[in-house]
Amino acid sequence: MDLKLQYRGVSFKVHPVTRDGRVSCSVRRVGDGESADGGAPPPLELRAVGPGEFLVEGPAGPRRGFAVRDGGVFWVHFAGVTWRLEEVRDAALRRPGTAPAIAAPMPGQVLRVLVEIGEVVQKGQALLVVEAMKMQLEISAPHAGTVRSLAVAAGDKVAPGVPLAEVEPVDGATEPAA
Amino acid sequence: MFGRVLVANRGEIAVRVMRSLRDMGVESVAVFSDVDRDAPHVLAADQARSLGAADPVEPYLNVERVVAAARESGCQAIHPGYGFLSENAALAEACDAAGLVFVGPSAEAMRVMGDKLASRRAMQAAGVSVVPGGPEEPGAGRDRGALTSWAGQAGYPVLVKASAGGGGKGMRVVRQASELAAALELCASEAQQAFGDDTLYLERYLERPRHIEMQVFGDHRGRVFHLFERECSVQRRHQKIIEESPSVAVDGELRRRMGEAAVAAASAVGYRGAGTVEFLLDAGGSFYFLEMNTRLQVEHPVTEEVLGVDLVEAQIRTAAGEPLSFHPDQLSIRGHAVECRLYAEDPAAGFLPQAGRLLLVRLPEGPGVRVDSALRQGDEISHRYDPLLAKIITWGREREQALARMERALEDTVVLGIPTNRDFLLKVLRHDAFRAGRLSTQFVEEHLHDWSPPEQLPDEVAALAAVASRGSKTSGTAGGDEPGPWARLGDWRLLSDG
Repeated sequence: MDLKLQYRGVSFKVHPVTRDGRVSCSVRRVGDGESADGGAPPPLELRAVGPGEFLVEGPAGPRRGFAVRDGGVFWVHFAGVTWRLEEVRDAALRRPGTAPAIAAPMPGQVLRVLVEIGEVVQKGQALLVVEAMKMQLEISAPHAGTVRSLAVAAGDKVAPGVPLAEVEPVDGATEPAA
Repeated sequence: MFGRVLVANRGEIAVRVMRSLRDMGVESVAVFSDVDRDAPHVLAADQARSLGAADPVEPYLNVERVVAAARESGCQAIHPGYGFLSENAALAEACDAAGLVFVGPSAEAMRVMGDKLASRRAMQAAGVSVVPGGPEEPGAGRDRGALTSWAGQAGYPVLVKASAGGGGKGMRVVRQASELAAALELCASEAQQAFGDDTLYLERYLERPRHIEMQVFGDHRGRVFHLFERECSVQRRHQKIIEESPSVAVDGELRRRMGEAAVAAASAVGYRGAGTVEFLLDAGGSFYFLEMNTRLQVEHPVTEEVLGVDLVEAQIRTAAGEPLSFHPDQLSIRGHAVECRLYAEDPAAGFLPQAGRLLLVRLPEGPGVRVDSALRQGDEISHRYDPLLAKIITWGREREQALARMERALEDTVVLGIPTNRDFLLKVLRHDAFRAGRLSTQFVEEHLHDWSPPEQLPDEVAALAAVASRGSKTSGTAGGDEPGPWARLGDWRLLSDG
């Protein structure tokens, strides 16, 4: 079955075919048309060699890669870099122009809300102060924009992943956190 | 020598201390809270004692229980590691009262150095220069008016600190008078929560200083000497992330002067065992006493690597009243060592500490690489503990080789399941200013403030995700509600049988 992934706002579709113990994967960027100079790149050949450990065949020979799945999240380590990707289900695809939610990173308590709905904020401007692990952490705007919603007030307990606020980007275009 | 020593800590430092005990033929005893029953430090010890408490953290801070565990298990000494009770004078006193040896300095030395104002006074009396700070009047540290007027007289920027503090908690830089009131309020409430004491303290804030610290040691006969410097300028929010020895900013003459000041500082409190005197070094070559840590330092391995000594062994020998296994006068720095702290924190989300399960772990190896960690695949990383996952230390015949080896070691470090600062550490290592040794405590803010993950996803990475996805679909879970790490790793045999 095809897998649809998202990384920094770009969607990828992977089509794996298993043959003789190897998996052959065609990778396509969603939204790319067929490239003008004649077709997609040749599929990549992969082999499993241990739990979470794979070999990727390349022009210079096999390269080692690591990958695990945790629900809808994929963790991959390849060529000295670690990646975190998300699976996309079409219904959940981000609609352009909507404001990405800013989530609580860890369990804690909201100490102060520093902005109001409708306020124009700069990238990096503090929106809220959350207290967690005896530290006061400023939750700041990931991009410049307008505060569209505030889901919490001072004193609220927050859990990881719970949206705290939404900031609609100035130009409507932003990168989701990777 | 002791026959048995209790290690009152957990995580990498407990494991590290137990390794030295084992090398010395001394038995080790671990203590643990309920959730740590099978933790790496428990498995590294010869025997383990429950502290009998469900809370994951509190038992490690409980002097009474720790001392009782040591007595019940027939230990002669307690090694506190760093953090937890390591700078708690009450543990040293409780050990004395129970006829146990505390591996560390006297309770009195800990009290003086643990108090910002008392340690400054002791340093000034010993002729060691300190960063201008105040207010000095009794009670002024809780008086907003006194704090504000001290800042006004000393001039901005000022650094607000918790008097009882450390580790960057309750600390803020204030650049103008209008920001002071808010910073005082934040710091006081953080200080109250973290240390149970909201007394604040102000210091003149030095622009772009280097953080240079001297490792000091007081032997069993009371001779105090130093074991050269470590540079720990690369910090983020006052937390060190990369440390090295020697420092490119310290020449023979400066090393001699800083060493003398550090020895004077430690001697002023009759220091015994391993300690660290921290200084800020300004661009003009002046240095100022910052604080003294009366314990083993997190970054002690870089000193061990360039000197070829085992500081934990030295601590244990001194505590047992025995001579050291090396002669301080014959030590010299050989090569260069670097340490990177691998943290469970997300550089793409403001470096916030992360919790979750370690789904896959591979640690680096090869020439010049040392890893001090208690990392274990399948373990859950909790918000309740320090987010330090591992310390990766490399040694090279000169700085360039040590850094090249660190780059290799970090590239080979695989931690999947929770975000870590690994890629950020690599970014620092590859930065021109870092390579050139142009460091200051402002390094991260100046050069790497807007770090973000790479833009382009290689096709190989998407393909790897797809094969990981197929693996887990064929495995399923074996009846449990919570799939274990192995289920999430997928059934690779089924995949290759396909």
